[in-house]
This record gives sequence, C-alpha cells and structure tokens, in this order.
Amino acid sequence: MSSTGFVERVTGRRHAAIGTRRIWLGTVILLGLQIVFDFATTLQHLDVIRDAVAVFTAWAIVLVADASVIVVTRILGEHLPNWLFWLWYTALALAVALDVAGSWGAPNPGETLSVGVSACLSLILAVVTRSTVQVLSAAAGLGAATALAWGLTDAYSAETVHDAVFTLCQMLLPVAVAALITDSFRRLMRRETEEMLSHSAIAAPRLTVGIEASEQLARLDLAAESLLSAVADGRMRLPLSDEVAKRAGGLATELRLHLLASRSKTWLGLAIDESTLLRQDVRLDDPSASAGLLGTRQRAALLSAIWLLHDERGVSSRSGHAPIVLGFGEPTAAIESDSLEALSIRVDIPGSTRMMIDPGVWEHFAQVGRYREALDGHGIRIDIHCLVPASRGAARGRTDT
Amino acid sequence: MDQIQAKRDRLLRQAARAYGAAGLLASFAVLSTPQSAGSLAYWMCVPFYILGGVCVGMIGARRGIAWPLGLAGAALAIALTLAFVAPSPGSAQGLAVAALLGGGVPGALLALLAMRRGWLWFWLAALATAAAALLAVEPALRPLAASVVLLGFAIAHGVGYLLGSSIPPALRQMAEVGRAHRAERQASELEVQRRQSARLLHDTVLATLTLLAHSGRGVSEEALREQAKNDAHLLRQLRLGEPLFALPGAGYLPEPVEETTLGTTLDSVKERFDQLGLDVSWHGTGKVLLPPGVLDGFLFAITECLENVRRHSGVSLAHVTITEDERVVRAMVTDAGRGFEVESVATERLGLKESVIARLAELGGSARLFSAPGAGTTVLLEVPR
Repeated sequence: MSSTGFVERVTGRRHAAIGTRRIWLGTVILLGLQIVFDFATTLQHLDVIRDAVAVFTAWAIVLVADASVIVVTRILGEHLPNWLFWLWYTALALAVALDVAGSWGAPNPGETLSVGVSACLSLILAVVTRSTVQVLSAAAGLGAATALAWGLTDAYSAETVHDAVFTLCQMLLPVAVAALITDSFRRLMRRETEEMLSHSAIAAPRLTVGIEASEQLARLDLAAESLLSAVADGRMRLPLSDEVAKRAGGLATELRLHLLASRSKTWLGLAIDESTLLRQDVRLDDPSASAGLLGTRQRAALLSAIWLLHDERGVSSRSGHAPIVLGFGEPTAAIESDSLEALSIRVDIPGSTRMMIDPGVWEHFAQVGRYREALDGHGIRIDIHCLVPASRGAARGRTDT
Repeated sequence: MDQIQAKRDRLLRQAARAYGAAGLLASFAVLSTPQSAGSLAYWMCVPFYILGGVCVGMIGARRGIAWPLGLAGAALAIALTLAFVAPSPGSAQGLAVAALLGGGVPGALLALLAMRRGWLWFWLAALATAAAALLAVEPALRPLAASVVLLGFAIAHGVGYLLGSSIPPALRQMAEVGRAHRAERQASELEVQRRQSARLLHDTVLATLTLLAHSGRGVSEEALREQAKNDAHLLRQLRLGEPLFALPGAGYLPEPVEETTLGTTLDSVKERFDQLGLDVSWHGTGKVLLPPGVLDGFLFAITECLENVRRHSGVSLAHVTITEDERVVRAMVTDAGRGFEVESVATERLGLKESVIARLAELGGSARLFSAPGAGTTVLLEVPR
C-alpha cells in the first residue's frame, strides 16, 4: 500500500484539514485586534522613534502583505501556495527589520517595537495552511533576529530587558498556541475522517481487494494489453529480445500475484491497511480470513472498538509501542445451531489495564459476541466468542444483510 | 453524539493546556529579568509557578475542573504575593501579572467551557480574577488591570467558541467526503468484480505472457501472434467496459448465462493447446452444468495443469477425464511424461499450489497431485456442483 494515508488522498490537501475555516477566521480577528493595538503603540511612541518614515513604510508593507494573504487564502479555500508564503514571509521580515531600524536607539526598544510585533504575529494567519513546524520555525526566526538586534543596541539595559522579553512573548506565543491548537484540531479531524473512511470497508464481501489494488490490476492489464498488441501487429519481432521477454515474464508474475492476492484480503485487513493511524498500532493475524465471516453489525462494532483502543494508545505513554494484535481462529461448528458457526477472536493489548480502556470498548465488544477479559503479564487480553453464519465450505459467502 | 461531545471536550482541554502554559511561561520569563529576579517576592513566587506548571500539564490528560482551577489559584497567589511582598512593584511585576491573569488564567479556564453551562462558570471565574487583579494593583492602574483581565477572558472565550463550533460543520463536510469515498469504493468493488469475472481472460493472458517470457519457443510464430492479438483485443474490451461475450471467435469466454455447459468451452481449451503443440484427449462427460464462477475456476485449473504438462512433462499428449456425481465434478489430468518429486514442487513459489489449489479451495473444491520421477503425473481436481 502507499505510504500516504487515504485522508490525504481523499481531501487532496496536505495541511488544510477539514473544518478549519472558523479557526482561520479567528486568527484573522485576533490579528486585527493586535494590529489596532500596535498601531496605537506606534502613535504613542512617535517622539522616540528615530525614523518614522521607516516605521510607517513597515506598516504599509504589513497591511498590504496580510491583506493579500487573507484574500488569496480565502479565494483558494484555505490554501496558501508555497511561493506566496515565502514572499509574504520576506515582506514580514522586512517590516520587522524596518521597525527595529526605525526605532534604533530608543531608550526602551522592547516597548517601542510596534509594527514588528504585528508582523511576527501575522504568521498566525498561516497556522491553518502550513505545517505546524514551518509556522513555528518561521516565527522563531523573526523573534531570534529581533532579539539579536536588540542585543546589539546600546539602549539595552537591565532595567528595560523585561519589556523586551514581554514583547518577544507577545510576538511568539500567540502564534505558537494557535499552531498547537490547530495541530490538535487537525489530528482530531484526521482521526475522525480515517475512522469514517475505514467504516466504508465494512460493506465489502468476505474477500475483497482495496481501491489501490484494483487500480494496480487495471494498470497491469493495460501494460499487458500494450505488450500483446505490439506483438500482434508485428511492432515487436518474434522471438522477442531478452529484455522484452523478461518484461513479459515480470508482468505475468505480477499479474498472477495480483490475482492471487486479491482473494486473500478481508474487510478488516483492508480497513487497517488503508488507515495510516491504525496501520501503526494494530496487527491482524487472520490466516484463514475468518474476519470476513462477521456480519455487518459485528464488523461495525469491532472496528469502532479498535478505534477506541487506538485512541487510548495515543493518549498513554508512547514508549510501549507493541501493537494491538487481533487474532482470528478458524470457524468451528457451533453448539447453538446448525446454520451458525463459532468463531473466536483474541485481542491482545500489550501494556494496558482494564482501567485504561474506554468503557465504550466493552459495549462494542458485547455487540460482536460474548467476551471475557484477562490480565496477563504484559497487558490485557480479550477473548471474544461470536457466532457467524455458517460459511458452507468455502469463501463463497457474502456479508449477511 | 456522546463520542463527538467527548472529542470536543478533549480538544478544548488541549487548547486550554497550550494557552495556559503559554501565559504561565510568558509571566515567568518576564519576572525572571534583572528588575525582579532574585528578590524575596520572586523566590516566594517560584513554588507557585511550579504548582501552576504541574496543574497546566494535567489539564490535557485528565477530565475535571480541579486542574484549571489549581492553575488559577496559583496565579492569584503569585499576583497577591507580588502585590504585598515586593517593596516597590515595578513594571516587570506588572507585566508578569498581566500575562498571568490576562493570558494564562483565561486560557486554562477554557477547559471550563467543556462543562454544561461552562460559560457561566467561566465568566464567574473572570469576575473573580478581575477582582483579584484590582486588589493587586495601585488605584491608578485599576481600570487598566480590569480591562486587561476582561479582554483576556473575552479572547479566550472567543477561541473556545470557535473551536467548539468548528466541529459540527467539519463533521458535515466529513460526511460528504465519506459519501464520495463510499461511492468510489463501491465503483472499485464493481470494477474488481468485473475484472475478476474476466478471470478466464486473465488466465489466457497469463498463459500468453508466460509463453512470451520464454521468447515463444516451441510455438509457431503465427499461433503466438494470433493469440496475442486475441488477448490484446479482449483486454481492450475489458478496459473499455464492453461486454466480453459479444466477441466473435472467442469461444473460451464465459457466457452471459447463469449456467454454462462445459462441453463447448472444453473444445476451445483443446483448440488452444493444439495450437501450442499439446494434444489433449477428452474422456467422459461432455456436458457439465456449472455456475459461471465455478466453471471459470474449474477451467482455469484444468488449463493450468495442461500448461504444466506442456512445459514440463516432455510429452505431447495429455488426457483429461471428466466425471460427475450429484455433489462434485471431477477432472483428472494425466500425462505419461517424466514426472517429478511432489515434495520439490510443493515449495515452488508460484506453482500449482498457489494457483490451482488456492483457486479451487476458494470454490470449495480441492486438487490432489500424484507423481513420481519417470512415472508421469496425475492431477485430480474436484469442485462442488
């Protein structure tokens, strides 16, 4: 399977997660407030500012740059192209430099800096459209440059350094907080999206192939078609050259593997494989493809339980990274009825205790079948005994409806 | 819906932690500058900062309002300590208190908004904080202090509101994506079924490709070209989504009826192997009725066995005997060729085991192999009717 998750594949954007528009609006409002405040600061300090023209030029740059970024982001639907980001960042850096230069020699530079604060805080507009790391390092760059410049001025003194620290905090912390909050929001949305998308696998027949595998099969067919037609109309001479013969052999092998592999994947394997989050945390051990025997409701409940278990692992310590193992046994004749078979599912959750498991997990497991949990040395183990429709011999069964 | 509520609350708590931690950090950084660092008041405040840090760290992990309130308590203690212990409150203290009461405390109390009627508690806490701020500053600065605190709470409330209200539209948007994805998956499932129901086609394509890989040795150029042409044409039809059975002269394709007779299709298999230089002699039942899926698999198994005979046995005649009873249809593929050690073939990666046995097992059938070096080979294939 591909290394990118299907959330990216489906939403098509790398950083703009679903539903971040309101957060973005919030950042615009916050920035507006800060600009008003900082403009007042500029007016208040006009008498100590050495070069007012530089500072007002900086204001013009910041206002124009921010306005264009806001408009472009809005038009493109929470998207900020790379080149514009860097152009904007350059403009902001220029504004900070002009402000620092314009107020050079002021008795208390930390207090005098005005448009520089707004310029750095402007990066808050990018928390929705750029990666958290990028925004944080961009802001840190501006902050560090400002601090360095202040360190070089004569006006630096022990009596005013707290103002400088406060101003730096004002420049950096709101951006950092907004970036972290957006990151949490994105992760939440990403997880929700993945869970929802993985639920679409539930409706699959007992054995199935993923979307990607199906696309790959189509690609292989196309490659075979072009090779065969080249042979047919004589574009390729017979006997074939070694290279082409090798290609034909490779194609045959791949095609054969594909036709075989396509029959060995259950809905659960598909759901786990296609989700970047589950793939890291859950291992499936199902040699006889018994997961495919589960009914639709059992599947939904089992998948929901797995997602809840995954959440707990995200919250608790990341050190114990042993995956959750889902082991499926072979179906056996059920005592209860001839038309049913018994299936045992074993869930091993290393490094967990009963207390750490969300109560919802037990509700979901109860919908799959009768369960019993036991603690062993490494964590908790859950045995689920469930009944499935008898599969009569082989994999001709479909999901029950 | 409970799940959604839990997610929203967790998000608010995470926001409260980051926001509160930032305020606390700013306050501590400002206070740790030369103007105030090292004084008695400073050292008295340090334990409260540590306490506040612990509380803020716990906000994200645990539910409950004790932790944000703990941070608020530590912040008030710091503000009052600075007001009453420091000899002459300077501007560093003022800024530290402003960062704390206008940033850290409202930020941490965002977690209250996760509760029922949380906004009420949030604003009660705001009033209490403002009152403490009034106590902590000189009369001249009181209006400023009160407005800094209330503005801080207003901004925090705005952040909480935006976060909370982002979730329902996001879920709607997500549901749309989900619908699109389900449709895509369904389409792909159909596409796979279509391609899978063209299994027989794939089987002949595989055979042709394998021949080509051996540079077509042992087969007349004419025959190979003809077969490549047929297969390419079929693949093209498959790609364009045209019905496969409409193709003239392609007898080995599955017919569009529920039950297909084996007889006509067996003839086409024979023809094909004739072209490749293997004589196939049929015995037994000429007409067998099987569901299309089973028929495909059964025929594939027979063809695969014949292909093995052609490639490995060293003889140019194979016998296929077909028998049936009420439950199963059986085919026995026999040759008098050089035979082999059964054990050695079982380990072959893409040999009979995976292709034939797996395919038949899927249909509920089985394949058994009998062979010894020099004694020919017999494969017994069975599928249920």
